[in-house]
Amino acid sequence: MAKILGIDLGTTNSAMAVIEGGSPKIIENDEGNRTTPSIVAISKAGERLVGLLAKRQAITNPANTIYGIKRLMGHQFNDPHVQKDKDSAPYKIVAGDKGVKVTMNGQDYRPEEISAMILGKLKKDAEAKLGEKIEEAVITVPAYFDDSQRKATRDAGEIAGFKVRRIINEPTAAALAYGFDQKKNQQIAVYDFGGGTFDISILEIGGDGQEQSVEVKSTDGDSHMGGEDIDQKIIKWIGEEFKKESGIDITKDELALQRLKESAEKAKHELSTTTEAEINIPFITSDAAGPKHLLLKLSRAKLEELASEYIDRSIEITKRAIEASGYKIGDIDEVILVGGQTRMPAIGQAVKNLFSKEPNRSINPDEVVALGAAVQAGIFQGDVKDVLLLDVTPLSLGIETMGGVATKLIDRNTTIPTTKSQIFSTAADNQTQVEIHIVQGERELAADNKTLGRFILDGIAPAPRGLPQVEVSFDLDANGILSVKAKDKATGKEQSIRKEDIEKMKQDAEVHAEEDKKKKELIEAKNLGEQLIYTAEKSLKDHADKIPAETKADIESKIEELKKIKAGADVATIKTATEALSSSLSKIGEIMSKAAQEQTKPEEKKDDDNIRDAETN
Amino acid sequence: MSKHKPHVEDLEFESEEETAPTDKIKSLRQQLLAAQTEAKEYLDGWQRARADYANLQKSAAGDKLRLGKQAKQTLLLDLINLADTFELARSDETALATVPPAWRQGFEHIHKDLLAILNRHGLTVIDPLGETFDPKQHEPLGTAPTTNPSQDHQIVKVLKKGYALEDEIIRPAQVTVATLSN
Repeated sequence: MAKILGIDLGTTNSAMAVIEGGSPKIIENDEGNRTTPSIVAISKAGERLVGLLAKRQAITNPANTIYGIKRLMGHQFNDPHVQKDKDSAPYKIVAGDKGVKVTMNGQDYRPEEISAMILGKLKKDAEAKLGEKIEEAVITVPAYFDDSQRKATRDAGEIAGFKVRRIINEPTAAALAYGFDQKKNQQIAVYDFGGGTFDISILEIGGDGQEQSVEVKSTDGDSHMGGEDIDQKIIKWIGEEFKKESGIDITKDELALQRLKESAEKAKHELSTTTEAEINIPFITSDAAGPKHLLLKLSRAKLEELASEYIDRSIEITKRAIEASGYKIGDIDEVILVGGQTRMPAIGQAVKNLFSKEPNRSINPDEVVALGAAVQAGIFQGDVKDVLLLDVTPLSLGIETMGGVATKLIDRNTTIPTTKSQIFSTAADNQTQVEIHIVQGERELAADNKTLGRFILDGIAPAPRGLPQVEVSFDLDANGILSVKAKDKATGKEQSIRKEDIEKMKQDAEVHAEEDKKKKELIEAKNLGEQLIYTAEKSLKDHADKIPAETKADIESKIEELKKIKAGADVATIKTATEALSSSLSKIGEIMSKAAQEQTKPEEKKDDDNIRDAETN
Repeated sequence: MSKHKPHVEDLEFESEEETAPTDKIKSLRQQLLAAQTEAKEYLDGWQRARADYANLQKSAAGDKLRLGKQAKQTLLLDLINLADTFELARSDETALATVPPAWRQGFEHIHKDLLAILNRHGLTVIDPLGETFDPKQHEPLGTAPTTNPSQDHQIVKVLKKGYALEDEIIRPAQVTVATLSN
């Protein structure tokens, strides 16, 4: 099914998103930006421009550059608010047969048509980015939009070539992005402080049965207050500070003012994470005395002081909206922050103080509305349908490599089913076989993790260590069952362990844990006995001339006995016989040390070496 | 997980002797239909997942290139700011004349070096004085009225030069544009 585009059609900027792999994702426009200015123009050359380019040329072509068209959507010419805009807008707003029209390059356009041009650019850019046709869209509108405004927005979508699946409220989209539609009987406040507008909405998530409903209980705001006002305050402050210092007014100089704007915006952003920002604009201007530089420090406290009138106002409006909703502040279960300006810590704090709870701000506040529109689109698309649940492996899986290290092939939290393979080699020269010891767990050493199974791949052609290539592949199926295969790349010989075997080994390991422990003990006892026999025989041979006959006979008989018992499976008797031989053997030690006193040094070191050899052989 | 396993067991219908053969057939047909629908759904999901992955791989490769380019752009944009300041400092000829010659020379060498660095990284300078205004390359900071129609929309002053990285404008030139005043 083709993708449905989620669109946040904003007053100053618009954004778009789609569901990809089950989660919403913002789509960048052709210019590589995540938001597109909601501006349309027809240039002197007769070219239609939308977005950044339209914004750029606005100053040279104000009469043919339309911005803020959202404020005119679905209005009548006589509406007082249209009359007010008519006087302040640099472009012409005229009466149309149904509602208002704006003039660009001598031609009149309905606001729907202008919005359609913005939507058309988004559509075209999304198609280019995604490489597929997009025919449907979900578009957001402010909660206060009335029927005619919603209809105008829907028309704009249709003119742009979309089938508009639904028009949804911006605060509802924000709640969707956070997944709050799943909650029942909750009140949610959406505080939206954007670049040019401020909106607050109180939503009620209702529905006891199957149907969920999101109802806007109240909405309020100021359509002419936003982050840009704060920017202006900063610019004004810097200008005044500089004038105090140098006596020069830089706000009249185009280039200086532009540099000032850029620095002010940068400083504002910086102060969201630091407590002090430096504004450094060298060679900002010059006078008879020579070049002048601007170097100022703006503290977060100063910024908050500059912004306080807007923050206070937004909180007042918020209180008003809560009152209008019929709820009390304490009834609000969740608060969502929307709009870039809400990144300012003072705003987050003010909202937190008002509601006495931490507001939600984990989703990019500039993008949350478009993302929520995409979530709604995804519901229509059926992408969010829960037919296939993908699991993850809870523990890492790997094999033991040189030095007893557990080398992971499949990391924990990997989505399954999955297959991973890696090339290993031999640790010693002419090694003809490798043991694949499969382990599960997060510890560094194989011994500290859980053994899932072992098998041996042999028949590797003798070669210097590190040369043979053994490919080990792990396959973990959707049920979390593992199969392991090892293959010698040179000979093509392979050995594998099937999942059933691993399962059996896992069960065996649990059932036979006690048995294995006993087996291990027996093997250890036998090994110990064998080592001692070896040492004893070697000592008898090495020191044959110095050992009295009776000692020799005693040791020899003990050796024989241990050899006999060792063939059996009784750990206790093997241990006793080993101890007996050990004590007889110590007599040699005594004899040797006596001899050493007479001569020079004892030869114990040699014995040590022998034992060590025996261990490794 | 077990819910995704094919319901082989289900196909063995209840061994009730009384069930009429037509009922059995009917029941089996229903089960077959259900199994076929389920199989189709699984195949569809599988194909979709494979396609999603193939597409993801393609887009990830593109994203990687783009992110690399973006990181480079971000750094270069900061350096461009520095180059702007050098230009501004140099433009004040009278002030520069008062600086000791050796200092001035050193300053110019640093500027030259910076431009060489920008050039080495593929940046080209856009100096559009006298050209016709084009919003793709130029950002007007102001306008200058003109009565000469042939000068309309011409760039009469370059306040800051523009920069392009491999044919892509990363900083438009900031300019003053002449506009016809009636």
